[in-house]
Parts: sequence; structure tokens; C-alpha cells
Amino acid sequence: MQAELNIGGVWLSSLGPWGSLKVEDRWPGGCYQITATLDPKLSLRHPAIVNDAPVRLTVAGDRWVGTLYDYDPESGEITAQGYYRQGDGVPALNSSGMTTTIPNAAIDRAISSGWVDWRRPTSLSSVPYSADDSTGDATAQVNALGALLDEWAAGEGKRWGVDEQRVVYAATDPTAITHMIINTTAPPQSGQRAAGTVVARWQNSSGAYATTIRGSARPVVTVDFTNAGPLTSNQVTARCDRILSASSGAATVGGFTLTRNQIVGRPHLSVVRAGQRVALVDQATADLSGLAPSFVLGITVWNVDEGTVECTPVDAPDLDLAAIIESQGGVAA
Amino acid sequence: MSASFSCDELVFLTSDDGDRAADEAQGYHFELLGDDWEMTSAERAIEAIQSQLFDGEAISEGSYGNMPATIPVAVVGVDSAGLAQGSAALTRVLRRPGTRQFVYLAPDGASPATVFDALHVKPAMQFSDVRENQNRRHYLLTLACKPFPRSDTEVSTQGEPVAAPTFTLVDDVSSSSAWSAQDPLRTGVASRAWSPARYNIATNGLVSDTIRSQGWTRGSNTESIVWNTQTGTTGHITASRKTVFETASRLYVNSPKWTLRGAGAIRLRMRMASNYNASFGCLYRWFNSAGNQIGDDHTITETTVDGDVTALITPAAGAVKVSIHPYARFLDANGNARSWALRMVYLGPDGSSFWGNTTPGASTAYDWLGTPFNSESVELTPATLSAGSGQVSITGYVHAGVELPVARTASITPTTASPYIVLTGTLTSATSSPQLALRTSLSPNPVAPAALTYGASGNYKAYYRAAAGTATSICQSLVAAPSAASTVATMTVTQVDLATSLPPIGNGRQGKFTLDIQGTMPAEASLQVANTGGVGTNVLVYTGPENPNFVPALSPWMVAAGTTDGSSISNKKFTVPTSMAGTDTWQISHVGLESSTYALFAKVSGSSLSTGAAYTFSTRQQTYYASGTPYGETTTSTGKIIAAGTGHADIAQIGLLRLPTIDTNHRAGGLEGLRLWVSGGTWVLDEAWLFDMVSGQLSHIKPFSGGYANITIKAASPDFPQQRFYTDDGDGAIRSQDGRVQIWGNHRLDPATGCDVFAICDAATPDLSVSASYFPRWDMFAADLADDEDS
Repeated sequence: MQAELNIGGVWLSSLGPWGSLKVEDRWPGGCYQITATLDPKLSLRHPAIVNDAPVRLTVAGDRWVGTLYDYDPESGEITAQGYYRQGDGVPALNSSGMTTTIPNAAIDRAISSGWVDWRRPTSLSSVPYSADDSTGDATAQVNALGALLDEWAAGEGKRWGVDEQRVVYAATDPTAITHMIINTTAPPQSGQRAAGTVVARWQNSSGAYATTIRGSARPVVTVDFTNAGPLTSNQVTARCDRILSASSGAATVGGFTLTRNQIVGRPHLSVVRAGQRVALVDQATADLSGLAPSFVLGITVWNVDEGTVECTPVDAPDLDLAAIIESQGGVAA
Repeated sequence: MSASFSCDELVFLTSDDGDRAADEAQGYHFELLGDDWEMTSAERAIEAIQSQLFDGEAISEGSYGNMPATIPVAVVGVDSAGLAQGSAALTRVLRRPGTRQFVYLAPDGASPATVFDALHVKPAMQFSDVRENQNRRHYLLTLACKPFPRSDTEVSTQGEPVAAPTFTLVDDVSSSSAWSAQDPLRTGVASRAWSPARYNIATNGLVSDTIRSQGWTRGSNTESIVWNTQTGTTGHITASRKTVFETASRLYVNSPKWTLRGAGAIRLRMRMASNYNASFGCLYRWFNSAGNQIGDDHTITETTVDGDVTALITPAAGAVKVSIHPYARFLDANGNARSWALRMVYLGPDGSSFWGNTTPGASTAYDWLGTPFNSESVELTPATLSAGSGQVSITGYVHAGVELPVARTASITPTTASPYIVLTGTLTSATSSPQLALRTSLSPNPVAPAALTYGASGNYKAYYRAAAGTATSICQSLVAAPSAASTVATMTVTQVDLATSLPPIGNGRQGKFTLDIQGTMPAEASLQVANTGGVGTNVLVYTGPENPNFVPALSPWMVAAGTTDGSSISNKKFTVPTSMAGTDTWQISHVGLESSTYALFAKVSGSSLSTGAAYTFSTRQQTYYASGTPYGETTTSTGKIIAAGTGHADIAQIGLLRLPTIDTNHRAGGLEGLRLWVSGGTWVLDEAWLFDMVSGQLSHIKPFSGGYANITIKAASPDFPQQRFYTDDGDGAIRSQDGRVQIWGNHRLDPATGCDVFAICDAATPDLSVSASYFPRWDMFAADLADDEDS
């Protein structure tokens, strides 16, 4: 089945030739971005195709949803952004307009105010992320909703996104393998283990210092979370574990491109998307400790014209240890 | 005559052709030059991957590019004024917007016209001083055409409705002489029907698989017993002693105590083996209800070396249990370690002749009931066919590996026009989800019914697709459902027919229509779905490769119990359970199930919902191999519906499935079991569909009114290069707003694969039909079309 793009209720296929479709998903993030090109000769201006118009991509059912970010009638270039990105810059306020670190309250306020087009059928968390939130309106500074959810999810060992039904959700990385990949050339892998044990220093909500140690292998890396604000033991543990997995040495740090023929069962390429775990069944792990390395996809770009999916593993851009630690809110000591 | 090209009013003829008189009047004419013609078939994109697993590259074929052509032409004027007029006429026509159609006629005119749809034409003038003096100008036309040229006539074809089969009676079973309870094509247990006769008198009577956990221990002189699954087909106990011992000593193993079913005599049988010159025997003891031994030990003396021990033993008065103690006695001492193996023990009723994994005789077989370690065996005797008025009937035992066959040894000749063998009859209520299979002398592999209508009171009509030819015998078997308990069923056959097609599915609101596609290349087609009284408010059109053994609708494969509903699409309603049921919702034959990615769509109606809540539909998939044996792992896919209110009715995608779970290569006994459940609320399923995402196309239209007589998906045409959706309100076609198109599919008909159209509507009074019109497309030049379908 072909992918069809609907902008503001108008099917692109009803307007004229279009193509160069690329569908990008991210984890965390869910639906992230779409680019496509409408025949520039049309120089089409259409009352429904305006910025922020809802965008649907269907492959049978809905595959991707978002809003129109940019359409240039002269070049015909279309860029749509996923609903996930509406969380950027939206303030994290509760229904009374007070700052909050309760994920549910902040999301619900943003939905009811029309700041985001999300739906929240299930709870993410009704517990304040920050311990000093209990008094309400504790800080002068307003958090951004996206940043709050990033922080909260990191503390829970989860990631969050907005799916093709506009549903905001959070989940741990899957452990079950969705796709088995064959006939790949080995993607760039780190090979060296950058951290085998993480020793973290942090402060709780009353300001007391504490040490959390995760892992047991060498090398030992010390991380300073004391500037990350008051934390809980669970939040620190989740961050340390994320650092360990991203720097384990078995991690794949580079991307690779797949065709249908490289996926066992030759599925329709639209089913390959970020957030799924894949295994490279004919490769060895970079640290040579095992076969068939598996990892969760962090970015997938389905290039519909070429019939390929560019895959980048989750956390892959963080090539060096310092960057990995920083992404978790710490500082390498 | 020679070849000619024309484009609107421009006619390019080779120089020696044509009536020039008219040309003289207008002052110019065009010529087609013979040199430098270039026309190339559209090239297909291929993706080559250097395979790491094999030598060479793996090639996958992609889409086609445009067809390029260069055509040299000349403008010839009577004078320079005519030449200028001609040049201007050429440019005027070629600059017209949109697709320019170049019509090619072959030199002898026998083959039909071919139309090249040029998306771009570049007329490059090739100036020559000499030719200007001759009032001639040469142009090289460079064309970028649509990939496949087409016929100049549009073909209309009515979808061959898969509904309303015509039956040809083969056998009304007024005589039973051709019928039997044994398949002449097979041998052994599977060939015939069986009736249960007697059960074992001791539970766990056969020890072949279960010996280790049943409490067998080593006895006198034995140093160790080992459960060995490696050397026997079903495993055995090896008793051994490593040190030398006296010649006459016995090496014992002890059995647990077996519970007796009654006071009758028991046939005790064992098979024993030794690498040494040994003789065998068995000691046995009776126990009363208090667990105390009754009387002395009894012994069966050895019979044969390396062989079987058998005796009829009569329980002592008051005995409720028996234990047995097989032994070997070695006949000489040569200083080696000793061992022997107990291959099998059987305690059963007298008169049975079963020896475990040996082939049963023609008159008796055994089967297992229940679960391992807690099982009984049942002795089977041949079932006989009973003939009544206009029917044959057979009652027999159905279990994994034991089928209930009814065979007919007389010729039957399916043809390409009537390819379905249809058996009609009844099945007992014990088989709520009957698994039927047909073998014919033409095809020894069993075929699952392509359609099975299964009415109330056990009436069935099973449609089996068969190759054309004369079969000398057929045999229909009732096979045990996957994981089903054994049962005794009665199968009756009242009629055998040949049918032209499969029966309509459900209430006639959905149907599969096969289109006969002409041409050699994929063609854009206009598809029309019509329904006299109005198509309703939901119309789904799915096109895919021709596949006689598959329908996207799942209701024909439904095995879960539902209720009848004449207002629905499927004629069934099924309340989706809120947790995974222990049995399947659907079981889909692997015969027609292509390995692909499928979108699972369902028409569901929810009630008692909370507004805005997510309801997750889960689908567990499991492959069953032969005789309903679960095979491989299960996987579960999910999809969700967000409730719009406390009630929610929709046709929605509720999952993406990769099927089959395990590819059995279209094995006839292969089944795909799907179990559907939902996370909460009350959801009633009408119908579900599997749409192939790789090779199919789906459109979903919600007409503005349910009363429109048809929905037309107009193919892209030279006049309007985009596909459009129309509804017809009776006065003419009205283009549908985009908002009424829920899912947009671009439909093409490919003669290489054929085309099945599956149409679905929710019309109040269904009489669904499908037609298509299209210009057949060709690799390069058009061929004659079938006459009866020219419009």
C-alpha cells in the first residue's frame, strides 16, 4: 500500500504529482517530521494548506500525524512536524496556572489550553517530579513541558513520545525484538567500553549528599549530579543505568540503511519505526562479547521513494562519554 | 504503407505515403524520418545488495521510470510560406498543456493503435541550409512518456462476482456403493475411521514417554538406572551394573504402583533389549487399598532373548494396584559391565495387540487422551460406514493424528469453469469449529475448504478448490481442531456437487470480484462499486493480486462463537472478550495466505466506554502445523481506538500483523490462529479484514449520503492527471470531497498478477457489484484486445 499524505483534510494525491516523501520517527518522540515535495509547477496555494494545518500520513490506517510546519509553493517543499514537538516551549502549568512538575497536570493544562493537540487517555504520572513541588508554585521560573517530560522520563527509566493517534505516552525501551536484520554491513560501533561502573554523587530534596553506584565492570566513572537539582534515588539509578547502557561498548553508535530485503519476513517498510528493538543477526557485537547485537532504534527515516529506512540507534549521537553523561544531566567528575 | 505517428491534428507519415493533395492545399505536410528513431522500454529501478550470506547480489525490483523516445520528423512546405506555417503548426500542437498523445500505427495497419502519453516533448529543430532551400525542416522530437504505452480503446470489464455459485450435481448419495470409511489413497492409522473400543485398565499404562517421572527406581543388583532419550525413538530405561557379578543374578528395576481399573485380567507386555546374552523376565506384586502387598511375588519367566515378554495376569482378590519389576539374567560371566534396556511397558485389556511405536495392525490402533503424565490410552477399532436414505454417515473418534475420513471412489471431474468440489452434509454439535480437509487422487496433499458455510444444527457446505482433471477418488476428513480434546463425532455427506464459485460472504455487503486484466503492464483503472438501493455510508475498496484461496474478510475463518445478525456485514456479531480467550477467534488456512504485512481492520461498535479513554485491541497469532499442532512461538500485536464518547462505532485499523507467523509454504494443514481481545468496555465485532500492505491498495470512502447508487474511483487520465473519487446520486457523478475519503488508495490493475477487488459497503439492501474500465497498457506496442470486452 502506498503512503498517502493528507494536509488540512486535502489529499495531496488529489492536487497533483508529489513525492520525495521522507517520514521520520524518533524515540523519544514518536512521530517527528515529514518532508515531501509537491509538483512545484503547480505553485499551488490552497486554503486548507496553511501552516499548523493537521497532517495525516496513511498506509492503510494512520501511520504518522502532525501539523504543517512549512510549505513553499514555489519549490513545492512541504515540512510537517509531529505533535511531539508541540511540547517545546509550552509552559508546565497546572489548571490554576501555577508551575508544576506533575506530568499529568502539566499535560492536561496544555491540552485544555489548546497549546498541544495531544490526547492523554492514560496516566503518565500524577506524582510531582520535583520534591519541592509539593508546596505549589515554588519557583519563579516556568519549566517547559517538553523539558519536564524529558527529565521525568529519564528519572523513570522511560522515554516519552506522541504516537500516530496523538496519544502522549511514556514507556521503557522494549526488550523484545521486533525486526531481525540480515545482510547489513557492520554499523559503526564503539567497541571500547567507556563506563563499566558509574559512581554518582547527588543531593536529595533536603540537600543531603548521597552516593549511588551502578554496575560492576571496569572502567569506573564518577559522575556529579549535584547541579541537577534535588533528586531521588530512583531517578539517579535510572540515569546511571542509561549512562551504562549507552557506553557499554556493545552499543552501536552509527546509523545504517535498510531495504525490505534486509528484514526477515520482508515487511512493508512503514512498520519499521523508532522505538522498536532490532537485531543484526549476522553481526557480532563491537566488544566481541556476543553475536546478533540488538538495540532500540532512536531515529528512523523512511525514504519512501528509495524504499529504504535510515536507522540510528537510540542514544547513538552521544559518541563520547562526557556527552552521554551530560545528556543525563550530570557532569563527568 | 509504412508506420505513422500522429499527435492531435499532426500526422507524420513516411515520405512515400499519404495523400499529398490535401497537404498541398494547406501548404505543408509532415514526414516521419526513418533514421535515428529511438524508443526504449521503461527501465525498472533495481536495488542490488551485496549479500553477505551468498555469492552475488540480491536484486529487488522497484518501480519503473518514464519511457524515453526520440522521433525525427520533417516539415515539408510547398514554399517557404507553407514551411513557416507548418513549423508553426508543429510547435503549436506540441506546446499544448498536459499530456500529449502520440498515436502509433504499424506499417501494415493490422495491429491496433498504440498511444504514447508524452508528459514532455522537446522539438529540437535541426537547421540545414540545404534543406531550407528544399523547403524542408527537420525536428528531433524528444519525448518523455508515461512508462507504459496504452491501447487507444478503453476496456470495461464487469467484476466476475464471486457470489451466486452454480452447482452441478455429482452424487446425491442415493447409493452408498462408492462410499467407504477408508481413504484408498493412504495407508496406516490415518487412512481410516476408528471407533473407541476399550480403555486401559491401568492409568499411565504405556510407559514410553513418561517413565522418568513415574517413580521408577533401581532394584536388586542394579547400580543405576538411566532415562535415555537418545537411543530409542521414544526413550527407555537403561539398568546397569558396572562390576562383574554371578551368572545367575538378576538385575532388577522397580516400577511404581499402577492403579487398576477393574478386576479383570490384564495383559502385561514389555520389550527389553540387551547387548549381552541375557534372558528376561518380570516379577509382579498386587496391593490392596491399604497399600499392603497381597500374597507372594509372582514371576513371568523369560520368553525370548532381546525381545518381548507377555503374559495375562489376573489380579488377586482385593487388589487395587500392581507393581512390576522387570529383570534381566545374564547367561554367562565374561567379566564385563552389564546393562539392559527396558523399552516399553504396557498394561492393557486382553486381546489388544499394540506395541507402542510399532505400526498398529489394520484392525486396532491406540490413541492417547489427556495430558502427559496423567493420561490414559484408548483402544480403537475400525469404524464402519452406515448408509441411509440419501446419505452416508460415519461416527468415529477424532483426536490429534486420528482423523475421521469418508471416501468416495468414483470419478469426479472439476473443470476450470467449475473448479470447486462441494460436499454437503451434517456434523455433530461436538465439532463447533470443524477442521475439514479434502484429498483427491489428483492431489494427495489435503486441501482446506476455500469456504465453509456452517449453519445451524450442524449443516455444513464445504467448498474445496481443485485443479481441472478427473479424480478417481476423493476423501474428506474431519481433523481435530488445534488443542482440542478428543471427541467422537458424526459426519454425514448428503450431496457432492461441483460449483462455479465460492458462496457470498456474510449478508452480501461484501464480496470478492475477479477482474480479467488485458495488456502486459499495470494500468490505472476506474473502479466502480455499485449497489442499486444505495451503497451506504461506508465503502471500502481493496485491490490486490488474484488469489483464489484467500478473502480479506475473516468471518469465513471465524471459529469463535458469535450470534447471527442480518443487519451486519458478516452476518455475525461477536463480543470481543476483555482478556485473551483460551481458543482462537479466527483460524485462517495457510493455503492462500501470502507471507506479507497485513493491516487488520475491524468494524467494531463499543458501548459502556469512558470518553477519551484508549481501548487496546490485542491480536495473538500462532501457527498450527499439521493436524492442528501448535508450531513455533506466538506473537501479539496491538492497536488502539480512542473512544469518542461512551459509544463508538467505526471501521478502524486495530493492528499490523506479519503473517503467517511461521511460513509453512502454503501447507494445506497449516493454520494461522488469531485471538482477539480488548482492554475494556463492551465491544461488538461485526467483521474484520486482513489487507495486504505490500501488494494491495485500500480506499475507504464515506459518501455524503447512504443513498448514492455507486462510488467510482476515476483513474488518472490525460484530461485530469489525478485519481478522483465520485459518487452518483442518480442524476450523475458528483466528485467527493476529500474529507469524504477516509483512506486514499491509488488502484492499478496488473495483468501479471491478475486482480481481485474486494468491496465492502454497509448498504441497507445489498446487491453489490464491481466494474472497472481502463486502457490496457503495454511494454511497447498494443496488441488486439478481447472483442467481447471492448466498450
